[in-house]
Amino acid sequence: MNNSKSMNSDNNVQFGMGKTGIGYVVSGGLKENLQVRLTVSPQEVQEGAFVVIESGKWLFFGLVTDLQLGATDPRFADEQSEIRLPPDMARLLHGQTLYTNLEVLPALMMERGPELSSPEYQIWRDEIEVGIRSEPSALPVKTIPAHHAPVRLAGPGDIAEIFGKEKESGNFVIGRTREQNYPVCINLEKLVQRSSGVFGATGTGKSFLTRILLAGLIHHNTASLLVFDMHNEYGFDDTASDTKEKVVGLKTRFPGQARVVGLGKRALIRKRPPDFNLEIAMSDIQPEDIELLTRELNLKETTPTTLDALVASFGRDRWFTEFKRMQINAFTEDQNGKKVPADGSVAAWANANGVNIMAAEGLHSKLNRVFRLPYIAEEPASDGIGEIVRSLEAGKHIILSFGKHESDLDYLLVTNLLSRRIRRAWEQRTNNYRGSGEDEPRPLVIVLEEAHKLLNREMAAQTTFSTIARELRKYYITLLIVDQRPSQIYDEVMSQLGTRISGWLGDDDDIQAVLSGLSGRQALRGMLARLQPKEEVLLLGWGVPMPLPIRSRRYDKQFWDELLGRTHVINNEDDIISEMGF
Amino acid sequence: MSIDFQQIREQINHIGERAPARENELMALYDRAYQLLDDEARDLERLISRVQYVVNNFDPFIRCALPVTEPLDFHFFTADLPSQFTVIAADGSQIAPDRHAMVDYCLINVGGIQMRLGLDEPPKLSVSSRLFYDQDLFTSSGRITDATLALMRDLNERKLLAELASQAYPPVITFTDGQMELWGRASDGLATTDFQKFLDEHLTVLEHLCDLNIVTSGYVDKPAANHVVRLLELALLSETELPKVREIFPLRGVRDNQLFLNLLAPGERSAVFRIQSKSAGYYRDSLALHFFYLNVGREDHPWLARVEVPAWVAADENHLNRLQSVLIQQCQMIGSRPYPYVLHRAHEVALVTLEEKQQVEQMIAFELRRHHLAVGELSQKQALKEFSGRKRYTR
Amino acid sequence: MTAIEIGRLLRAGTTGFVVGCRIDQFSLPSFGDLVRVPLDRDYQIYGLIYDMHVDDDGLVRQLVTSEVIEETIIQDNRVNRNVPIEISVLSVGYEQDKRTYHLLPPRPPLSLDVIFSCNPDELCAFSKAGRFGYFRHILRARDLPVGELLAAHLQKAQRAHVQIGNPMWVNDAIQELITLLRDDYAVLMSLLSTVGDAFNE
Repeated sequence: MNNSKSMNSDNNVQFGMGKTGIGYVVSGGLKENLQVRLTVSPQEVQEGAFVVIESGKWLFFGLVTDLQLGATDPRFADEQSEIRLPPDMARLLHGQTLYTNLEVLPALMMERGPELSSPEYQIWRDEIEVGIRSEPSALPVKTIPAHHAPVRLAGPGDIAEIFGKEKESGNFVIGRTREQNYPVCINLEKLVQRSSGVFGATGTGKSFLTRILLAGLIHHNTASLLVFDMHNEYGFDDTASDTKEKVVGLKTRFPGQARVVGLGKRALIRKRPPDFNLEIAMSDIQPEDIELLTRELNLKETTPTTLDALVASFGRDRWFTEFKRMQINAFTEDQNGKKVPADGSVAAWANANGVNIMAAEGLHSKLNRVFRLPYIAEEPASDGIGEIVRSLEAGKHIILSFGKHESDLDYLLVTNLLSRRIRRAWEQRTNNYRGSGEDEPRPLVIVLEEAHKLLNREMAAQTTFSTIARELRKYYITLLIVDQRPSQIYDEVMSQLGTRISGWLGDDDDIQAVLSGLSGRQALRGMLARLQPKEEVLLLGWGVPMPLPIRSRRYDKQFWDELLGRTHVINNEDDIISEMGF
Repeated sequence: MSIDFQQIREQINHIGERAPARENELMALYDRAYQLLDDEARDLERLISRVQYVVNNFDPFIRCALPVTEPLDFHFFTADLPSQFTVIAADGSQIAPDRHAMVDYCLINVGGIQMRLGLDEPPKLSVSSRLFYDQDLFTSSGRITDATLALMRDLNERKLLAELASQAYPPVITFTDGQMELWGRASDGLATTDFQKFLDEHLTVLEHLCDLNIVTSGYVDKPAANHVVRLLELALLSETELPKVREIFPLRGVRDNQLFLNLLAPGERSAVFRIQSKSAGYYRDSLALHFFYLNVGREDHPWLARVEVPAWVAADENHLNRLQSVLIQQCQMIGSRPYPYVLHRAHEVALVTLEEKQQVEQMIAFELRRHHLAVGELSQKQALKEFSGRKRYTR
Repeated sequence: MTAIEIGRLLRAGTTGFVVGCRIDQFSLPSFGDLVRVPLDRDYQIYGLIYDMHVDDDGLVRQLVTSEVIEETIIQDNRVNRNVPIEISVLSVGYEQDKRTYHLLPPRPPLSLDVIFSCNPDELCAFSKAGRFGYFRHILRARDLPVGELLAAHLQKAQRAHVQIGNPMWVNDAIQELITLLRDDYAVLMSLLSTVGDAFNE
């Protein structure tokens, strides 16, 4: 980078390569932020602008978190000098007696080496080539720039330096900077290494952003996706609720790689048949799955005992089937004419197994809701769950649409059940890989909407998801949470999220939750509340080099053109076949 | 030390006590004088012979007015301004030799102004500055005195006047400040030879002016001499009192000024009188000195001036009328304080300020030093006087 | 250049001097003029005129009491009668061996004959040497009409600078003033509004 600067009569510091400065550092420190005196009009800089400060041999990258008006004497501010003095003269007061300060949060710093044109530069470069000196990279901020260090807006080169170059593998353009529209990338490989989250109040475009991310993931083939599509949004084409425009589905664009699965035997998703239907075998259902539904079904504390007894009686594979068969209020008369529970009744079984009758009967009646679920069959047509697992292992992406089964009960039961199976499968694969040198398992991302239903404090202990979130990284499974109430998500889970992409949030608790686990980011609170809904999001977390508000990419024709780089109308079978990887 | 106000107060009180009585006496004297003026007004022959008689027998140096042709109580108004004319005035000032100063020198500065009314051009100014140093400071009779210097100055004024007048657009009317005769007597520390020399020169100048037929006059602003009253006194004295004429002043306290103020309306002149005195005796024939009184003031504020003229002007009615008209006009120009404008300006032009005086001294001193000559010191007396004048530069 | 002949140097110090002279009305300098005072072959002092005192003229006061003033008298007073004035000059810099400095002159004048009113070229050369260092001397003299003096000077200097093709000079000058006075609201605003008036043509 060229270090040369000159002052012109507007007191603007000129950087090399024609970049114009916006100000210079006047005060501040590591603990509190840096104060920068603005030398251009305040309207040229916004909160959240990505700025670069050059000082000595370091470059500092930071975010503008506040703008403040100041005056050397309050009377200069009080009095309207534009009226009292000629306009040319009044203008000269701005920047001297009347000024604007930026508050800049320094996020990263990077060594920049000697001046480009000096002989030392070549020596420095050679050292790096040879390996004596490491290639400069972005580091956490350990020092501060000097007084009067010049400040400028980040250029596309700076953004590429920090967030990655567009063309490099694994980099995906997620949006553009607000002031100057430079592209900002996230690295998809890094994204899937940890769990991540997409947040924002209702109507702020979370699902569009999620579609963009999923499209990117599918296209770059970074991981397999299992999308729990509670509202049937992602698979097939949809219509936007506000603009009534068509929203392209993932299946449409990736017909070979993505498979839409419908819950229930003859389910239709958006009036179209899915790739296959999922039925759950009764033998799949485990007591843990039922315990998960405690709140939903209002189960009593006696439930676990009862379930244990059932398993003990019938075994893990059959307890559900048997329990379902039992009857309530079935009586016969015994030898003495006394009313006794009939065989095959809940009460009879309870008596026989030392279980409280009322508890057992209570459980049975409460479980009626589950017994009645149409997608649970004793003998399903196929091993739906197994099919799903195998597809995922083969590198396909599954979009499980719930069709008309949109209740919380459906969601809780099915997701948990499925995840348990998948977890087991992946653990096995990982152990094989580590032990016997088999192929590395393919990373899997489970996309969860309405995550707060599954990942709140009460449920946290019970669902697989919190375990997945906390531990399953080492088993190549991560979560992608999409939610509008992050404050309801168990904070231990929240703090595991590497990358957080958040749209506008109005609730203080939600904002606090999104920022949890990230130290010293209180400056970002206001920024979250001031994002433009549907337009802007804030990238933060360890998964991104530094927090940055951006204008999110639009999920439109242009997006698809850029992503796929060609016309995306499927022309013939050969295309389909080649897309399927054969 | 300072005045003893105690003593003064007593004396003033006495004055106050006597004043009213004295006033009454004076009033009576004035009545007497007016009466005489009236009685004797036309008896000019008798008055002239009376004066001759006294001069020949009792007091050859008596100073009084001699009537000419106009009656004593004559008063005359005219506004006979020519359509074009030039009025010229000259005045002078001097730096006297000062033995207290650093350098021994003196300087005469004479200024003149020529004005032509009705033209859209400013008056022309002339200045002549003459420095006297070293041997110039001595005449045949010794070192120049203040009186000598004053004489020389007066003479130079008239010379400048003559020079300017000779080239001016006629008709030309000129004045100088004060009486026409050169002031000075032999006994004023002035050697007779010097005085005679200057007088001769003056007479030559006057003759020249006479030849050119230029109106020459002297303007006396607040006349103090009481020539006409003296004349009246002579008329009053009896035959027996005449021998003691030098000691008897029956109308003492009565003043010409007051007398004629009552007589002359604004713009009017009195009769022309001839001056009878020893010094006037030097001016003979066409140069003989005459005078008249002129009221140059206004109705509510009359003001008397005495105008002295040589014979060639007094004898010519046109000259007199023009002179009178021009004088009145000049006095009105200045506004509320009647005084001829050109005389005032001539005075301004001639004036040497204190700063200029010091500048000249410094210039001489500087030049001497440049030639590595020693320069004198201030006298201690002068140096002490100047101490209080030092100022430091502050804003 | 206009030469003003001096009668005498009345008072002089390091920060300025006062001269008395007689001058006709056509040669009168004006308030805020830059003057130069050559004292030696290679040393001259620059100063700004901050006060001009015309002494009371009794004759003129007297003349106005008359009803009619003749034309020739008016002319006499305008052309002939020298106006005795005192000119006060604030030192703002000096030139030594052809270099201009905006510092106080090392030696005040001890005797004077002539001072010169600077022409536009000289005014430009002085005002653009350095970075307006001479403003300090003006601002320091708080008992002078600082605002008026600066406004008069800026006006004249700006005219000169525009002629040599540098119209931004006054902006730079005002910037410097704002920087020097940014902590003194009262003086700065008073100064700016005076200067604003001066440029409000």
